[in-house]
Amino acid sequence: MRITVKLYGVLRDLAGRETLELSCEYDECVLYRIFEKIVQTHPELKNYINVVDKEIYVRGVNIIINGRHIMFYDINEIVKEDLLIDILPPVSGGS
Amino acid sequence: MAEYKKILRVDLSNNTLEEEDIPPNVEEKYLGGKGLVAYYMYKEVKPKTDSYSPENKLFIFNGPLAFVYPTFTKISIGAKSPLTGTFCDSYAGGSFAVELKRAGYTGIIVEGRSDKMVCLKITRDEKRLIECENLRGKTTYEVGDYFTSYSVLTIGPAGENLVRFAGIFIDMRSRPLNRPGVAGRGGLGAVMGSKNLKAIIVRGWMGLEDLGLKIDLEKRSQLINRYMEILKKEVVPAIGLGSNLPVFKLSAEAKILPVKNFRLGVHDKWEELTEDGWRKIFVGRHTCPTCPVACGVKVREAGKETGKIEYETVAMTGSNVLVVDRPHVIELDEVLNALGLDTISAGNVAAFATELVERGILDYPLKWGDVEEYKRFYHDIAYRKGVGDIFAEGVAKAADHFNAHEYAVHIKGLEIPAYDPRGVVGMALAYATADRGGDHLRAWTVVTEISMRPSLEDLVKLVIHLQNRNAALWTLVACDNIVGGFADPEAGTKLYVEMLNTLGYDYDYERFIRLGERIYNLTRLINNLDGIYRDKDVLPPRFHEKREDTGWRIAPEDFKKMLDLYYRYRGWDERGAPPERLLKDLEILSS
Repeated sequence: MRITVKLYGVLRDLAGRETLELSCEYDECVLYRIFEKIVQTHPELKNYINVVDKEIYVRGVNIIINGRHIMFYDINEIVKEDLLIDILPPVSGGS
Repeated sequence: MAEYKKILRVDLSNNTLEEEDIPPNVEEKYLGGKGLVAYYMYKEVKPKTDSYSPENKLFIFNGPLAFVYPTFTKISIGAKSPLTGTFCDSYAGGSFAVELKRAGYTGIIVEGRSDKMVCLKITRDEKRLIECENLRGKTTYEVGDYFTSYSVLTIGPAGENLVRFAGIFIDMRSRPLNRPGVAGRGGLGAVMGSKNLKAIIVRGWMGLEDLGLKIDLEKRSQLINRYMEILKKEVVPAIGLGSNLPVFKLSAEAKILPVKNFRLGVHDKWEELTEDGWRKIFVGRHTCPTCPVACGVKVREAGKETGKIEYETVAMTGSNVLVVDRPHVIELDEVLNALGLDTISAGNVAAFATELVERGILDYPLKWGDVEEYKRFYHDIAYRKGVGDIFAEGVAKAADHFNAHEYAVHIKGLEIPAYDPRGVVGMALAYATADRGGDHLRAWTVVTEISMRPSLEDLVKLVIHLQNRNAALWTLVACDNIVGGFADPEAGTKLYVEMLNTLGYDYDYERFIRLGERIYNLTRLINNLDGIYRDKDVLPPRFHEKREDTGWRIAPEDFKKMLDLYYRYRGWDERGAPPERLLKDLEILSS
């Protein structure tokens, strides 16, 4: 499967690019493993995304996968289609 | 238990004013603010009462901490909403809550309808209705300037003309004496207009020692010192320039800004409207009485000035209709405030109308970004002239008129505020289950949900917790601007509970949150009795569509999953109704 990660704002600056291209095969294509791979290949994102014990943890970023918010996914499920992952930048403040 | 809990009951049909005590068991269960609004609405206003009938009532309550501790300056106002037909409460800062407390009242209940335009006057020497025909048609600013030495709660022409999204305005003056406040949401200004009540003016006279409260003064002093430290270290930095303006950058960067009737999530001129942009033209601050935070922002540019600019206004009447330069946003803000319209609903209605024009459904000279036409449009709405008469009914009813529901962005009739939930899905659930219709203040999940484990179960629990916590906080009546600035909201809430207990109450954190749960279930019961069940806990079609710029959407099956979980965690049945057993457990119904 092809995985395209689109970065925005400060994440783009950190990674030095707008998009990351990855791929996965068979049992690698599980969401938490895909995010593990993203963070392994781009450790500069570790402050914002982390994977511990098959759980994804985010810190101030919004993640939307193929137009569908990550909250609606089972992160242990095997993905069967190419993915476009939007990762929106850290924010602060609010009321 | 506190001692001095009085209501002033005003019958406009019979021109009578009567004082009554709040029964101690009611006060113990519902405290003040939102709790008492909900209790009295459930008890006194029959289900499905027409919001414009004399039988609808206006409930105005302060909280037990008003005037006793700093920052508790908001007033809770409620009635059956002209937009939704069900429970609505809306909150405003300014001096009214404190002055009402200093006049010895916890609340005012206004019922009936006057034949003539009247104002209610409350001072040490007199409490009476005075004829106010001379103020008919006056703007909110003109009414504030007319009653210079009072706290003034008023409506503008829009409220008199029964525009369904007319608000109630406090202390609006051409030269403000303190931070003005607006209870904008749900059309409560039109309820006031339907009763021919133009204004309530209050000048309190009592000091703290006159109120008959049994306060632990030493403990109070310690708590105020601790609170001041928290305000200084946490809240003031978080509030930034003030008026929630920092949120604009957050929304733009997260691409959840409303643009062109929620078709897009950002526009290329957004940086002009950020906190930094407003800081360039900042000329001063206003604050509410007793509050050291001073979050009211006064700005001036190109000859345009306003003392009341806020994120929601900038996003809804600016970005959402592509008015993207500050002077024009200021100009529209002033027009809406003077006419007495809710800026959230107004921006939503204007965007809806512009989309109808663009799609050839409406023949009217509106186009994105055209400030002069939007000014005219808002005037036409406030005075119900021409096509303005249709849009004065709000988005939902206007959508009925044009058979254009797919473009109408509201829930239960209340227009959605300035966060696109396709990017922050907790807000989708928060909007759909808010007890007054599409609203962001019952549960604002935006920052929390992007810093947690992505789990739908946790997200649903977060929404429920915030709804319960906020319902409890608004019994006090706490200021949402300050609560939003706490570094540790739970610790902040616990501090408020300690403050409450210096008045003789016996709350702990869990019991306080349980109070919020009681109130939220009571407001849901009111909603149910008004015919609101699962079929009304829905998203506007727009949020199920792919967004034009990003392709983001909320699939109906995903939303259903979230709502099912919500009902289950709430203990509600499949239809979205709290069962009798739960209502008894929460002591809403007697066992």
